Amino acid sequence: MLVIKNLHVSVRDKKQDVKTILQGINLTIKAGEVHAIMGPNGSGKSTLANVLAGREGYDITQGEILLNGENIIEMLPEMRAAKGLFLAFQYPVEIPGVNNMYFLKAALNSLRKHHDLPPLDAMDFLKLAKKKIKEVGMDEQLLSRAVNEGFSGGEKKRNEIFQMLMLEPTLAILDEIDSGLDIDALQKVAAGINLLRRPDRSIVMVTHYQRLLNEVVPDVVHVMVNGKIIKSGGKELAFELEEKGYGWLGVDENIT
Amino acid sequence: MIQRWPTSREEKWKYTSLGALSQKTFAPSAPVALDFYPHDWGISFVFVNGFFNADLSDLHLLPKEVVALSLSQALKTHADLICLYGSREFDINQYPFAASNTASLSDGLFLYVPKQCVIESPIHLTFYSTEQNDFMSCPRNIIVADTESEITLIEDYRANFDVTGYFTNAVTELTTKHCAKIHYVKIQDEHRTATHFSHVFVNQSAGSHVDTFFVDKGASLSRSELVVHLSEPDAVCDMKGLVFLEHAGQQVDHQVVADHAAPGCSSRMVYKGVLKTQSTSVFNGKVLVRPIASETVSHQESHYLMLSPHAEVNTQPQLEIYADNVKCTHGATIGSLAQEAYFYLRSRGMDAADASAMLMHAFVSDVLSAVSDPAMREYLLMRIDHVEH
Repeated sequence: MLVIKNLHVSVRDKKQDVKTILQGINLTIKAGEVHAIMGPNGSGKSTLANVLAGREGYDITQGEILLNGENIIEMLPEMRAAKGLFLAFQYPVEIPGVNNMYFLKAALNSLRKHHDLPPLDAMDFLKLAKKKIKEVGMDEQLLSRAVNEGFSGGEKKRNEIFQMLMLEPTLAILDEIDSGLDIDALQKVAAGINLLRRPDRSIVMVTHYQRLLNEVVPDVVHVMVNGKIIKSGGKELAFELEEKGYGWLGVDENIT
Repeated sequence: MIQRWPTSREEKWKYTSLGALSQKTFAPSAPVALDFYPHDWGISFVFVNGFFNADLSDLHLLPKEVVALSLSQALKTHADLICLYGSREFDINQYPFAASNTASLSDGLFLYVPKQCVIESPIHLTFYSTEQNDFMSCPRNIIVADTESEITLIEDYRANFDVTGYFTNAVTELTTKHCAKIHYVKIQDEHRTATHFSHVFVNQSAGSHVDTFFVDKGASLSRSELVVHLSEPDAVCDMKGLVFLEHAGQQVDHQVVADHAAPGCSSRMVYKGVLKTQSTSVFNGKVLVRPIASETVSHQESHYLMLSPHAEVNTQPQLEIYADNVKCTHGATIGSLAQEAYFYLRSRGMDAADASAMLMHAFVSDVLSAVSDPAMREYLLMRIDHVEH
């Protein structure tokens, strides 16, 4: 599904000084697998998620990102989406004036067009949306509001999962989908993620906490520090991190 | 045509150069025979190259008690009413183009809505330019809404695709008597080679309500002066404008004046624009609160979105307040597309063009959703999206 080879990424700060964030990431995610990426703040987890989705402002200085064998580094974000990639944003964007349902219908029909499928009409779309929105326990009225505008933190995160279920990506990257969620919301979000799991789909979860991983059990856990993956293991690795922090891996815990 | 051309040394003309225009000569417009013009809706008056065409118009929804005549006809039969409401002499220094309109008047609409007459259907004035090139037409509309009457009026400028280089120099006078209401929409979708100048003078009596909605998307150079006189107490004027520029070199200049000359009136200006290419937009919003106009409430804002690094926006509030106990606010923003939202939409699969179109709609959506009549809102949206040339 996804193969990342020796990925080096840097950004320029306000003073135009170059800062290297990812320093040789290697990662292979097979179809059907769920991976968790954990690590201290500032280790580059969100950068990796954003680089995968094609956000501008990052310099990829070395390496390859292969999605189903195709290098996507030069690909526009909408093309990546068409190839099945989805990023659930850490901070979902509020878009005043754009109706949530109108937006999602446009998005879904863009993807359908790419796959030579006829656009869904308003009725079929509404039927599908009402079914999926129940699955994440989101208030139906949020459909007719502007995208994320005035949503609570939990509602925004559920809206990301709702979009994911509507768009049915084959590779979902969830950037701190569990941050700012109470226990109930976490369970709904986790249930939504589990609904997406299928042998032909893969999920990458960037998270700080064990609790999401209790609900969505990963196949592989990676620890990322200073732009490198320093350790990978099974789901037990997350328990160890929860218990011991990152110190035992030789990492300064106050690193930012 | 013009005795004395204004120069950029004058505040009102600071950002609009008349150099090119002053070098051109325009033929007078001539009536053109046209067999067909599609009606969008409502009560329709069609003017071709500035002249009223009765055959293309559709007045069957017009109440009988309303006086609606082409200006050329009205001058013969209702000269007294015209003298009462439309006999204004324009100061050639202050309004040189309005004065020039008077001098070379072509035609227009004279509309008198009697007391308490409420017309449900919109009255749609279409000024259509075709066949002739490099001509000048000077439409003049005189609209009077008598006590407690109410109308919706659309003044609409369109052109055939093959007509170039013409010049529209229009003047519209709106008068609302006691507690009357006028909902006024002006759509400027002229040919992209055209020059469009217009003046809209509004004179409001006590308790009257006027809302104006300007849409500008056509013409190479377009300049509108909207001058609202709130001459009696408790009048309300709500002014909105949307500008969409997508052709290189286009310029739209809005000069808006709210003249508070009585106590307890309120005015509100909200103008927004989207500049897709190397184009220029000007907004100069002046609020004049005269010494007598205590308890004035006035709000002004302008917001522009520039999608090209070569676009230019000049926006300035001008507040002249000579009264106490008034509340006047103003604000202006100029920015580019919100990159976060743009990426968000694209990450969901929308291509760059769809995503930016969606964000442009979002940008103007609050102005459009303030239009209370849903049919009018739909119509405006359709006209905004429609590509004529």
